[in-house]
Amino acid sequence: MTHQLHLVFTETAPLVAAVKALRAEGVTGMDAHTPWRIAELETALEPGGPSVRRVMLISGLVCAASIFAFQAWSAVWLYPLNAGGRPLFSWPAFGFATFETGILGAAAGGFVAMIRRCGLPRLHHPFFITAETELATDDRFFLTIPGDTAPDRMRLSRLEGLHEIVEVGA
Amino acid sequence: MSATDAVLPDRAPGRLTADVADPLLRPRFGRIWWACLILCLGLSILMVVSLVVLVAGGVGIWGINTSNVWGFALVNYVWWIGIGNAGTLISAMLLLTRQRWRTSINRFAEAMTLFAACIAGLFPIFHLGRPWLFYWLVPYPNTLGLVPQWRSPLVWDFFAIASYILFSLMFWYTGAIPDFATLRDRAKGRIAQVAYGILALGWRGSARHWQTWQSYYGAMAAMGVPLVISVHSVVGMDYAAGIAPGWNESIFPPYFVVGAMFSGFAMVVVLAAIFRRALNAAHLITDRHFDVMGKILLTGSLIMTVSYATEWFYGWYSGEHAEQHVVATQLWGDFWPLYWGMLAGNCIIPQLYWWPFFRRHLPSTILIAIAINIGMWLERVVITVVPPARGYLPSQWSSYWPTLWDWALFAGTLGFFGLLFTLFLRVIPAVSIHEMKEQVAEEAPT
Amino acid sequence: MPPLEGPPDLCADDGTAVDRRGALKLFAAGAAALASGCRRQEEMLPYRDMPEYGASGDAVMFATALPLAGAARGVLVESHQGRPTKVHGNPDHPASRGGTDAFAEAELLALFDPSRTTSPVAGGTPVTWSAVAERLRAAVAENGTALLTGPVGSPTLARQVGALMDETPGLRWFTHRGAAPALEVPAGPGPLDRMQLWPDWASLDAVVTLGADPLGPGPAQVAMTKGWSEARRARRDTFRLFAFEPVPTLTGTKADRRTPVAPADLSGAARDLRDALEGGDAPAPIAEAARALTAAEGRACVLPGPDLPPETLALIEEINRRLAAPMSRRLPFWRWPALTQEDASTLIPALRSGEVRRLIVLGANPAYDMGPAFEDAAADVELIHFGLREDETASRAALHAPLHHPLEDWSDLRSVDGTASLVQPLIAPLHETRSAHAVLEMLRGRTGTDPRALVQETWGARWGTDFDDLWDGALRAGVIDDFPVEDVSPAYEPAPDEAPQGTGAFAHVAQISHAVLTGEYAPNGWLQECPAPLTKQVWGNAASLSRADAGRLGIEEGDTVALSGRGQTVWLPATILPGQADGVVGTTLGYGRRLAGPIGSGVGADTAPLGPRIDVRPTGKSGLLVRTQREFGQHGREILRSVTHAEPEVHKAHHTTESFYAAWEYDSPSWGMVIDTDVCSGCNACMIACQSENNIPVVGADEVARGRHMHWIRIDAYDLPEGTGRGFQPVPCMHCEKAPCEPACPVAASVHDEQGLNAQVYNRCVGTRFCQANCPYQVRRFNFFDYADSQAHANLGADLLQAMRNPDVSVRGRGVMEKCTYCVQRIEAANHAASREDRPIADGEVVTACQSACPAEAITFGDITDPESAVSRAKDSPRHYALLEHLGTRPRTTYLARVTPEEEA
Repeated sequence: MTHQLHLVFTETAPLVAAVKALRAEGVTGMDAHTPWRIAELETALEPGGPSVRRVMLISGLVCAASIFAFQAWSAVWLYPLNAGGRPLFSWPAFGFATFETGILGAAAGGFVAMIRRCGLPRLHHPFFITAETELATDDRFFLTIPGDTAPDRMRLSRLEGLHEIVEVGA
Repeated sequence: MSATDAVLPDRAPGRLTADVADPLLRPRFGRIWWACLILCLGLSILMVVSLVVLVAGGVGIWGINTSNVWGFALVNYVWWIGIGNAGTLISAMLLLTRQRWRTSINRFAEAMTLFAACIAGLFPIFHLGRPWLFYWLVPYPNTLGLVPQWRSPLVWDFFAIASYILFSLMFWYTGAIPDFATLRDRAKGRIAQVAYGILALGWRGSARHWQTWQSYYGAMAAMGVPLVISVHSVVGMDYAAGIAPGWNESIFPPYFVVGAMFSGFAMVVVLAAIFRRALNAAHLITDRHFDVMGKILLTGSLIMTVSYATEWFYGWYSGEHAEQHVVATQLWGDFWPLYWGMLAGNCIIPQLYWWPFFRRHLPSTILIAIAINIGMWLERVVITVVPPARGYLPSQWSSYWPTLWDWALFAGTLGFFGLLFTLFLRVIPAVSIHEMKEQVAEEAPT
Repeated sequence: MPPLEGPPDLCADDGTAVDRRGALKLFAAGAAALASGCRRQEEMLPYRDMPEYGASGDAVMFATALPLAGAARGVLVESHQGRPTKVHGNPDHPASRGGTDAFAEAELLALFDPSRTTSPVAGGTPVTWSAVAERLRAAVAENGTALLTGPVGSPTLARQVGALMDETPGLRWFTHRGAAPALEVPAGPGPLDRMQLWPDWASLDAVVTLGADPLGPGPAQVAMTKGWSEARRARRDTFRLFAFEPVPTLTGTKADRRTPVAPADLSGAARDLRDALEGGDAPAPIAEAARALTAAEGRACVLPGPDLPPETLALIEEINRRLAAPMSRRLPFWRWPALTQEDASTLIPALRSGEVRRLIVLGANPAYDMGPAFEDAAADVELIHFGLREDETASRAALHAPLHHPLEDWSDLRSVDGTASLVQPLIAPLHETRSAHAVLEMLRGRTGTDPRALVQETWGARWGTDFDDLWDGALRAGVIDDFPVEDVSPAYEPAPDEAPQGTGAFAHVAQISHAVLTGEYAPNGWLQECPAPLTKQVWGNAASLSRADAGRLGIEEGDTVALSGRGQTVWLPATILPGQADGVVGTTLGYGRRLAGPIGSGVGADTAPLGPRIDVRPTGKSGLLVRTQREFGQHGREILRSVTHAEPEVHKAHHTTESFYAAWEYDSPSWGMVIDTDVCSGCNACMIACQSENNIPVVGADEVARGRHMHWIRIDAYDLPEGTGRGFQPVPCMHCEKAPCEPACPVAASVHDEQGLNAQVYNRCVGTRFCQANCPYQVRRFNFFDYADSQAHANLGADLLQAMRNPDVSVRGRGVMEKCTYCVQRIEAANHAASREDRPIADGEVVTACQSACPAEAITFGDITDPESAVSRAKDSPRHYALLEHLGTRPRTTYLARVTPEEEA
């Protein structure tokens, strides 16, 4: 595994500034690890990929349509029963299961999509090589730069608010 | 000091992490925790015994009868599911409306939801005459070639509750993944590291993680609100789709939703107070939180009062003697102490929240919240018990008295809820650490 | 070891010893019996005219007769593979005419009752029947022996008693009578001088009762209800019934005009009536009755109650003669003028004086019926008891031996009107029991006699050479055509001035119970759980009070009151009955049994010893009143509706009942029912018939007190708008076309079938009870426990009772909903028969159990898609209405409104 540099920050603003600066300088492959969501980072780093919400929409609609179709089919064709003189195709009554199943389908589909998109679950990751990164879930902010695209240390040390640089990997 | 400031702790992110996470990782919890655990465990055993006796003996051990067919089973079901609806609703609705004070309460409100919904789910299963056949409500290929009867509100209910429990679990778990990662990273013991490590799924807080997480979590919150409303509307439909006077009312679905939120919020107030006391977290859950929740409870109380008044009005306006008689029986008949108890708990006592003192004075606000919970429980008793006792044919009018086993199961579920909550406080961050830190960071002067 | 004895055909001529050859025959016979495992085959003959209805193809009907208070009601018993499973009325029998009463229906449970004695017992140890026979021979041989029987309605038994008395000088025979049939009144000074009034309802237009209850429980109930309901139905414009009575009875409840009169004032009422008939002044209700009687001269009668003094009876007799009342005065069925018959009231002096030192009790329970007086007098008397079970008398007896149930026995029986029928067994004896006929033969020193032979002997003497044909005919028809009925001419003497009847503040009227009669049916769970018609009380009796009296004493419905009279005090729950005379307490007899098995012991209190005057005292306690209905007001809802002669049309619902959904189309047949509330007399026969037909379990008093009961058809009683009393409304399942229960069921256990039935699929039911909550008629019944089997009430889960069940109807387990099916098993039997023969089902081919039982023929059932069917015609009646029509449930069970007589101008 190639080595990586972790730029450690204690504040969010210098981190965002550093990301912007480095991207302007053509540094690629950066990733940030933060204890909470920092919205500005997302505009700065632009992590791509398919939208979770689109998956949720599709999965929700498919589930809802399936359960509605199943209800209609089973009530009208599979086993038609006279229940209280109601029409066989009692579509308003079918709405409840349709709605609930649609929401559940969207939630479940979205959960799977989220997990997949985040690459989880994952037993190990190079980020965890050093114990320093444990603070990434506490109050430290890590900017990870692949060793081969990283600018030299002098440039990095000029970044404002940089707390330290941790180098990991061979 | 502005209100916004007061709902967020004035602490550094690292302190916050320690405040919330460290108590979980301490090897010892205090005597009070153990006392609670043992009490709740005892009651949980009572619940298990009640269920075993129930399955062995039949639902006849309860006080239900030919006219009052549901009794405590449905009372407790609706009460628990009402409490169970509040967590997601609070969490989702406050998230969508960007209420910053939400972060202090949403995690345990969601846990409350999950626990209460699971307990609520026990009742529809165990109230069946043949509970071992509950899976017949599920559409699955079977030798009878039958599927559920889709026009039944109980089938809607089954789908609603099942969806809701699974949805709440995902919503709550998703919200907690970053915190599990925090605990994983702070844990010293091997068991805790592995356990939290598994729960964290390998979360590392990367920008892509956060973006995806945010996208999903926000969408879940957006779906949660209509889901919760639909779930409790369906619970209302269990009654309103029936023909019995006093049940066949179109106001039931919205009125049940508001009632659920109302009782759920009251339960959150009680639990927040316990949690604040248990974890010494006055800086996390401030008086300001209680003040805001008091206002919400006051609003809920007013809506409930209007709902009751609407019921009275429509009972009279329907011109149907049976409807009028049910209202009259509730107000003046055999069951009047329950009804007036309900009005006291839900309509009258919460009016104290007009005074800021009662909203901010912790013992008072807890007592009022408990009164609301009792009032809402009585409301479910009144709804479940009175209309069938005063149906269309006077010849079949009856009364209902719960038996010891009815009470035992109810007490048992309270204990089981307490048990789950006690364990929850021990192993899962009761406050959303990452959201709290995000809020604090956003508010921090830059 | 008992001495070896054989059946008579194997015995030597003297009937005692067995010779060598006979002994060998016996061994062979024993071996054969062991090998075949059965007793001798009885030659039973099925009913000649098998009804088309009646369940599946393997059912056979046998005509027989069942005694009630000794009097026969002709019945047809449905038998499945050798097991009787259901009692039906015999249309050919004049005391049944196709209807039944609750008691006849409940005989089935009495037959299989697990608490019956299974073998003779002496001093707590089982003994053999030969030992019993020996004991009897010894008893008869000694002086001071008396025989006590119930009312003997069997010509054979009477013949045997006569022969026994001829053979045994000094043997005295006492007849104990518990419940006298309605309209059996004194006809002379002696206790046995009685007559049975038998009105010809078809020729009556005006009837006045003075304390009489012809429609009430008893052996005449079915015939009287038939007669009354036919008159009511056929001549609703002219037929009028006026009731003067202290406590509301079924007759009074169905009367056009009912007037509460205290018992002491009944004689005055009779005098007033006579005066009014002679043109004098009288109080308004009596004057009105008198006008009706006068207007219907030759078609009018006055029916006296059982407890009127002789002067009043003579007065009523005079009125009836003057009116040329179409009614006969018959010698009671239990009177055998050729025999020396003594009334049981003379038994106690005979016991006290020591004239009777040994009492053989055959089918009676004097220790309960005659109360503490008997117990005192019989303290040193040797009792030998024959009966169905170990009752109060048996427990004191030196020897107790069990008798056959009438469904196990050969016999003959007369009914209240005097008609005789043959009784044939439907099943081999379940236990080591003997026929009463065999017991009498034992008394005569003969053992091993076959009761059938004894009965045949009786009728052989009468029929001579035609015997075989007539015997077969009588068995097949269930009725003997030519048995003579003697008429009686009453001759009253003024009563001696009786001692004052007591000093209590209230008159006490103890009526025969609709459920336990006078106690003999106390061990029967079906009947104990059968609600009292007017109070809906089950599992016990109550003290009914007028509203004014209750208010004065500060007593509320359900409060426990202490009733004292003749030095005795009993505690009963109070009920407040509209229409009860002030100053009167009404109770029912037959409760407070100490030894009536696990079902009947300790239920209610015995009020017979209290006498006719009692004191009433509130106790401040409550909780004894167990009822299936607690609210009797209609609350202005149109439930039990009324029309008048002037306005015979039911005022139709103010709501429209248009439906949002298209109607389902039903092919013929599509079933429906109409219940005529005008003729329903509230007798409960339908409830027990349904219970028997549909294997409905008993739940017990504790469960009913919780509000649980299982009757598929119930009879609601409502206070009438006129305020004069209560009316009846039987409520089975409505089989709504837009049934609210069906969409409520999540598992499709409650569905409609193509014949319009609201079907309940037991195996599919998971027990959510939503259907029950959603039934506005509340006709659905839930098995909160396994009532039918492992959690049955008392001993009703016994294996023996499995044999009683209708094999065409599932027995429901715990956690399952059930309800009226319109007797779907009978519909299916008709469907099968019709499709086998490739024909449509005829109108009237399917008869539900409730319909077939109903003596008032209030229930009509059939195909509602056929406009010519009886049920469709009933639905065209102007009195037709649907219960809770405004809910839009479209019930298939609908009602005919009762007809209120308009006030006389």
